[in-house]
Amino acid sequence: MSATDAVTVSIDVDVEPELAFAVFTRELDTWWGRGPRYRFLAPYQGTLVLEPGIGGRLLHVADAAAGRVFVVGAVEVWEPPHRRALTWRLPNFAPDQATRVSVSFEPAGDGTRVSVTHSGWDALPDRHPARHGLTGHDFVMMRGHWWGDVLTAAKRHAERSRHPSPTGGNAP
Amino acid sequence: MSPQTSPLPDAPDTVIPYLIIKNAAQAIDFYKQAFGARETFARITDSLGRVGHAELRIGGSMIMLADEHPEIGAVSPHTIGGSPISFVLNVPDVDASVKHATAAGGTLSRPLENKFYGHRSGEITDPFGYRWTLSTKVEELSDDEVLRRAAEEERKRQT
Repeated sequence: MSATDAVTVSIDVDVEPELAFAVFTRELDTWWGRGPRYRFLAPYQGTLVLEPGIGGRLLHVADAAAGRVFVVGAVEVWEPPHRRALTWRLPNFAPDQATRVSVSFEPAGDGTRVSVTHSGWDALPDRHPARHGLTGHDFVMMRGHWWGDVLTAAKRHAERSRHPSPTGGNAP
Repeated sequence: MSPQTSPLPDAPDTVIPYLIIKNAAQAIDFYKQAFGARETFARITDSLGRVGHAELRIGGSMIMLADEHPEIGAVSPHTIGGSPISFVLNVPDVDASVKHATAAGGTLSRPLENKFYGHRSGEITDPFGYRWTLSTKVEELSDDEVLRRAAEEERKRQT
């Protein structure tokens, strides 16, 4: 495995692992970004659904009525509230191409360290469209920042629901 | 880029030092302990365990840091053989801050001293080779007084 096959992105969230795990399951759609940067099928709205349990799918339901649904991947590991792993494909992947996303939820102080490892990028050729022209370190950092933005959104959502401010605003 | 998009990244439009460090993960722990740093973004690590990016706040300032990536020319003070820059931290009680930073593993590389311009400061070299000047204002001086003392310092140096 090369240095750039996988990227791990970690963030400390000020909620207990059980809640952190739930934020990444039933509450996924409330905080996961919208638009072409975060959703899979045009018009990049719709709903993101993770079916819990082994074999459950991560779905982007872009338009249920029109049957526009993209299957991102399927759950391979499901150990609430400690970890889960799923296969991960983008719409521009060939049928035999897949990566893997593993998420761990470890107690850290009074909260939880959430770590996402996205691996399997070595299997994609350098000219694959998912690389956006980037290879090696630059590609890993691009993916890493993307997951960093995803995790930051998750953290904000989790901490807001755990520690709601009396005025409804967000504490700094 | 749409007209509404800010050309600035979601970060302060200040100078943000980007530190390359041998063992960045340890350095993050050190900066938290020594200087009260808070980690303010997710930490990005590659397959070899090298930190590719991390963001900290110390007081009101942001710093970014990463492990060495020699393949893109990113090397640390330990590899270069020293650091040509020093970061300045203004703190309310420099004696306490220096004590705190040395207890966390920093080395006092220039002793605490009252300066002619009214500051008391000392320099910490951290375990990763970066230098930090810690400083507290201990005297409120007029411009004239600073100039008078500067001239006196200069006379002392020449005699």
